[in-house]
Amino acid sequence: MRLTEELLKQGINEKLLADVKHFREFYKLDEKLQDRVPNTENVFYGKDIWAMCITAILEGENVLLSGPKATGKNVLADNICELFNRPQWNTSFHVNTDSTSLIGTDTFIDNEVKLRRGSVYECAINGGFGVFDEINMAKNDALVVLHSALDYRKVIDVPGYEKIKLHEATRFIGTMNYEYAGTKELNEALVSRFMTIDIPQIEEETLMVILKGYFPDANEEILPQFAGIFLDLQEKSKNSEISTKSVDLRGIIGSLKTIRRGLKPMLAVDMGVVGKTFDQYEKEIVLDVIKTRIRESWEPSDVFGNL
Amino acid sequence: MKDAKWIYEDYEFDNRISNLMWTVSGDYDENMDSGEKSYISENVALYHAVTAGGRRKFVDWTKVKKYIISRYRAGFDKDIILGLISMGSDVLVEEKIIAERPGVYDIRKKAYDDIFANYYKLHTENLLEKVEHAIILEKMDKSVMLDSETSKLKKDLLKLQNREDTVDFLKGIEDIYMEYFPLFVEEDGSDRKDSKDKQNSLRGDFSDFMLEELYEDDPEESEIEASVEELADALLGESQGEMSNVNKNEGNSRVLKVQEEDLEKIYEKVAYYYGNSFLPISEVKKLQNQVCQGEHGNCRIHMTDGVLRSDSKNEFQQKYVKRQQTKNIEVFRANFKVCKRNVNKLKESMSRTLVQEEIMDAIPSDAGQLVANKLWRINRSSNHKVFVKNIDNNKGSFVVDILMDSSGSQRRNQSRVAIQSYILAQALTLVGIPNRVLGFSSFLDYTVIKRFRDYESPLSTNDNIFEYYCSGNNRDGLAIKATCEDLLKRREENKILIVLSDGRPNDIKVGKGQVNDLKEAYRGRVAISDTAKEVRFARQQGILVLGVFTGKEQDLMAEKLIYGKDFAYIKDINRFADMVIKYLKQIIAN
Repeated sequence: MRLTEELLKQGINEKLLADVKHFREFYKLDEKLQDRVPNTENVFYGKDIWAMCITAILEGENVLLSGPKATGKNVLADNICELFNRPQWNTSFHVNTDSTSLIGTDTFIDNEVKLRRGSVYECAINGGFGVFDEINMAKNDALVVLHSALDYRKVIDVPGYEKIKLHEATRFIGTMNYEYAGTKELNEALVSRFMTIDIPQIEEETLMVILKGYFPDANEEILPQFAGIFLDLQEKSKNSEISTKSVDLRGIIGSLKTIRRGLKPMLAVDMGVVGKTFDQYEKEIVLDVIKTRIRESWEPSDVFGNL
Repeated sequence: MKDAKWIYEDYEFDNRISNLMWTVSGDYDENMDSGEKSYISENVALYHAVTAGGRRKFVDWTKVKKYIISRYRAGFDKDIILGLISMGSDVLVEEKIIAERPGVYDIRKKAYDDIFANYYKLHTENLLEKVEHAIILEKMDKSVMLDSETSKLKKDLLKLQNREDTVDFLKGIEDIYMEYFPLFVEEDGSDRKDSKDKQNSLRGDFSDFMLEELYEDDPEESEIEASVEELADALLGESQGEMSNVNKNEGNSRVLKVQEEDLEKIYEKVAYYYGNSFLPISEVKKLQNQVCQGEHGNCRIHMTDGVLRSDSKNEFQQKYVKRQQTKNIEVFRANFKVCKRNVNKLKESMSRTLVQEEIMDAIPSDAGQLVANKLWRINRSSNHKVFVKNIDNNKGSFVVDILMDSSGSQRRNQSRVAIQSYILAQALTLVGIPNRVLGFSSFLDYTVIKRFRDYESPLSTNDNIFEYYCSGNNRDGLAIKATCEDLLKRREENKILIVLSDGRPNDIKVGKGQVNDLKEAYRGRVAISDTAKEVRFARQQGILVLGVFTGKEQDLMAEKLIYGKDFAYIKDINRFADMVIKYLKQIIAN
């Protein structure tokens, strides 16, 4: 399997991967649910984090991925589902999410009252992996129904519905950004039910692997300059000289994509990086950084030789 | 005002320069020296920032710094030394920077073009500037006529390029300095060699500099500071002497008896020294009637914007306040990163807490607002919760008053207190919470309340806080009372008063005319209990009062007495934001 090969290349313990294979073979997957298993192009790069995730999941624990934006949390969640070959139900928590969208609610279809199942219900009966996006934006009452599902009881017991025992292969993966306005402190009892993994800020080595993965045909000497822009800005933001707005890997990747399409590098970076902040003085500082790395005269063909 | 404004207005550009230097060097703890900065044009300044960063990255900068400091102490001109070092190391460093960051090539070209354009307007006798231009022109492959000294110096500097070892390089710089920039002027035309020997012995061994340490503040400067302050005090004291009809009771009770006819004179003096009032007389009288009761029976209040912002004719005082302002701003600049970090932290934390608190919860229930698309449930399902109840968590809006003790006892902490206040005001303004910053001190029977910024003032007015200076006494209870009067008039539901004090209310006792039942002066136990009373009275009226303690450890008890459990003792300015956040979070969440 391609994913397994990639992980072996990263240096993951062979025994762990063998255990995962055993897991896959033990828990059968219904044909109808096969298209719920994500098919990911990109693989999360981080040997230690992978080891943490795999061991936790194999032991029946739930996992909480916490970290700054654009660090690959959702990529990792998708990778995990693919690796273990389980169907994924994704719930994006926002202010309107409540217990009914998670467990389910009555609906009226064809003149009949039917139960519309929520994502957690589906995971529970099908042994799927439930991904809870931005879990710290959820309201408390939405999460309280999960408490019994997330701990040793592994059961959903909500009045009005039958008692549902979780499938053995069911797991829950939470993702969250912390420290942004609008995010709450997570309830301690909830955090206790997850194994928390801190996804760190991106480092140079990882960054180059990611960029090379996306743009294998980019010029070997110029691609590091784009990585350099990201790292310079990340350092500056860490020192509180600028906000985190321009420190955005998605921005860099988006810029490179437009350059590959034929846009002048300076303009591309303006769109993907400088434009993310709206403060005039911050724009100047960010532009100064970029100007040390990218020459005004560069054309798309300088970056992608075979255009 | 103009001087301080110039430094400040140019500040954004200065910040860009620092940031560029940090980007290239990767070290955010370093600062650029003025000798490394260029004022020829923006592009040249930016390029100088790049090379300054490069020097710190590719040269052993610690050694270089130590060298410069030791030479500065021996009498060398720091700017010349730095200039020589920059020019000598540039080629060494430039190529390395450009290899790492290709874009620098364009930045350098723009700078060179500007310098070249500037060259023909240049009429300088300054050897250093001439050589700088000469080297650059040579790099641009443009040949010009040079005088022999400039040409020789240029050749010597370019020879240094090959010295990769830092100590070797610095030796070369030393030799060049000694040859072209004499240390002492020969008095009696004695042999140049003799004076050189003298200089050599003063310098000490070249390797001595490796052991020397960084120096602190220039002692000369602080002497000047002290004498100016003495002068100001003397003048203020002089005016008190002018009150020839005043009978000063020399005893410890410090009681002053004032005649009616002197009232006008006193008021004029107060307005002269502190700035004109921004309230019309009738308003002031009304305020005084309400507030000056009991302990403060015969006191008066003067509300002003300060001499710099209220059309004052008092030039001396204006100069004095400007000087204090510059001093405060310098300390602020020295701690700029810490302060900025504190402001950001405070702002982020407050906005998070506030946003959280404003969320409205809609709970399905069997009473409340009808939800139409759930109506099908009636008679068909056992779930009858077809309504939503909106639970509003809204705490209401906030307003904050910051009151700073401006009495003489705070003088040693002056800049620090100004910075703390500035941090608070910045964070609050950025978050959108209306806030007012006031300073109070007492002069005779007047409690002068100086307004630095008003509730709806824009962000830029927070700079006024640096006008804060300390002199006179402080009648805390009255100041708090007067502030609360205005605060209570605001329509925001949550009112917060933050008092930065040193726990030492201290004022003279004022009586008028025939009154004979004067008790003690306003200090010690009397003052503390009165202030404590005012704080509790304010709390009863719904104002949350927080004391920020800026005084000495021995007065901590007094502060506790006055403010109860709501006070913060902050010893380290780095922790300032954290402590205030904790308190404000508590208040907002409850």
